[in-house]
Parts: sequence; C-alpha cells; structure tokens
Amino acid sequence: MEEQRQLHLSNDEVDAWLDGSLIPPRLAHLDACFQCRTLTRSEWVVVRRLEAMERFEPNPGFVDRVMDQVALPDPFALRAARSLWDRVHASRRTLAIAASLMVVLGLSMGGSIAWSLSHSETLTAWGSWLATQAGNWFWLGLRGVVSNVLEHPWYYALRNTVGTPERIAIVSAVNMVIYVGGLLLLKRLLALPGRRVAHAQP
Amino acid sequence: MAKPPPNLRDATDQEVVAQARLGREAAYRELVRRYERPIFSLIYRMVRDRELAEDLAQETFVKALKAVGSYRPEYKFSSWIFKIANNAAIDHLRKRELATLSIEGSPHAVTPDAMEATALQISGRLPGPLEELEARELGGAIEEAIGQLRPEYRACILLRHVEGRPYEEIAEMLGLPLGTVKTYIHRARHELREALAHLRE
Repeated sequence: MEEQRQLHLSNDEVDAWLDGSLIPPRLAHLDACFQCRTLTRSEWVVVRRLEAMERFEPNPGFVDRVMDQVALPDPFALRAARSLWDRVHASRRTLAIAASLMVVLGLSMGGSIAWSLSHSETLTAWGSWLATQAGNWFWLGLRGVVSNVLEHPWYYALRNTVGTPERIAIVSAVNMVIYVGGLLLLKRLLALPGRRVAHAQP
Repeated sequence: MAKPPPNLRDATDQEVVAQARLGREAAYRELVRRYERPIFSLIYRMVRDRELAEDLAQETFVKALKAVGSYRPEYKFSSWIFKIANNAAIDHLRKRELATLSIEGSPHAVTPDAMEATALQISGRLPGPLEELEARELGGAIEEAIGQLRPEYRACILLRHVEGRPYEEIAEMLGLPLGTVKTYIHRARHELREALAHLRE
C-alpha cells in the first residue's frame, strides 16, 4: 500500500502534466491509476477555469488620471538644448547663421591655440606678471581689512570673548548648533508637500 | 488623448522604458496602456473593491513611473510593475485586517454596550450601481472561490494561472522562496478544487 502511494503523482508531476511535460513512465502510471486520473482531471478543470478568466478594465480615462500625477523628467538644460535645436533647424537661414557662428568660433579657438603654442614664452611672462600683481593686491587688501577691523571698538570685546580655548569651544559649539538648526529649517522649508493619489472619477 | 506613434506600440518594454527615461510622455502613456488591464485586474481580484482597486492601480503606476529612472533593465518590466502592484494590494489588505472589527464588536469590548458601540454597522440600503457591477464581475463561482483564499495564495494563483507567470518570476516578484510559491499554488488549487467540487457533482 505504501509503495503504491509513493507511486502517485507528486505536486510537481501534476504541474508537469498540466504543462504537457510529464515523462512517459509517469504517464503510464496515470493511465493505470484512477486516483491520479481523478486528481489531474479536477486540477485541469480548475486551471482551465482560471486561464479563461477575463481581465477587468479600469474606468475610462485611467491613463490620463495617472499622467496627471506624474511629473515628466524635463530638466532646464534638456529643454534649453531642445529649444535651441528647434530654433536652429527652424529655417535654412537660421541653420546657415548657426553654421557660420560655429565656423567663426572654431577658427578663433584654433587660432588661439596655435598662437599660444608659438608664443609660450610671452604667455609665461604675462602669467608671472599677473600672478605677482594679484598677490600684491591680495596682501594689500588683507592688510587694509585687518587694520580696519582692529580700529573698531567691538574688536577687543570679541577678542576677550574667545580669549581662552574653553571660550572658543563654547562659541564654536553654539555656532554649530545654530548652523545645524538652520540647515534643518531650510530642509523643512524646501521639502515639497506630499501628494495623495486622487480617487478615481466614476 | 494623443496616440503614441506606431514605433512605440511595436517596441519592446525595454525600448519603451528607455524612451520614458528620456522624458518622452508618449512612452509613459504606452507603459500605462500596456499594463492597465493586467495590473487593475490583479489588484481588483485581490482587494475585491472596484474603486479601491483603481486607486491602488493608480498608485502603482505613479510609483513605477516616478521611479522609472532607477529601474534596472536586466529585470523584466512586467515583473517589476507586478511586484509594486502586489505589494500595494497586500499592504492594503494587511492594514484592513488590522482595522477590521468583529461583526459582533471589538474583541477588546467587555460590556454589551461597548460591543454594540464597536460592532460593524450593516447598512440596510440597497446596493448601488458600483456594488451591482462588482457583484456581477466577481460573482462567478471561481471568482468567489478566489476571494475566499488567503491573500498570499490569491496573489500566487492569479499570477501563475491568470497572468501566466512562471514560478521563478513569481518567487522573485513576491520575495518568497521558490518552494513556498509552489506550495502556495498547490494549496490554492486544492482549495479551489474543493470550493468548486459541488459544481461538478
């Protein structure tokens, strides 16, 4: 009896039979076994009923209702590029103007590169002169700002406030708290309000 | 509503998704058009409430389309969207299960007054057109039998035999081991056989 039970089709074999892929020895068993035939027959009926079930259709306008809630990814750069492309291709005249501009731009860049390569010493001299001048102006400006600050009456009060390492630590901590608080506030202010899915229109 | 160009209609899901990622509205519409019926049908059979099913189907598409940029093309789009839909339906059913009170009142109610106060109010009104439509659509013996299944069984059997998805894909969609999916489907079929037995006699 136990041996006979083991011979009955397993669930996987019933699946295989439903898919038409049950191996011949087991098909032979199925032909001979009333219990397995009854089982596979009723499984077949259920599966065919399930497969015959029709799909339901949502109310008309479903696609539009979904699209109303979806923002298309259309970044400014993409829009600007598309707009420029459309304008350039609007007529032969605009296309010719754009092509001329591209040629002028290309020639200018090529000329600039060629000149730079042939006058590298001149460029280096100009570069070092500009760097020296910029450094001089920077230090002059810095000294002006520092001497201006030193002359203000609040400078010494500020200096006393952060006169010791402990005070510096306290002031830094307070500043950090204010900064983090500000960031959180900004994040909250910039957060977009959540949108609920609207109910379907009948 | 503008019809999508023919090339989009003939394109594969992956090609349409690639167009959607470029911000092409027609591609978004095409994806919704392709899957509105299967997704709505699955959810409707899961939650058995037309209006709610439509809301959940909308939610599914909105979620999928908003995340289309993060969709990984190595997976089938259909598996991905069915997974979102199934999660939406199962989440709703779980919430509803938590919120459901016994028809006799809350199990925590100890006095008759408390039980009466917490009991479900059964309306004496006649069913409206929507309820009639639902009753007609879901009224068949097989639909009713599916409605009696556990939600997990229901999802598995619908995906397998109504949507024709292979076991492996269902396991991936539902995040379940393959063996569990097979067991659920076999048990579901067994319960359906028993529920429909009287029709064959």
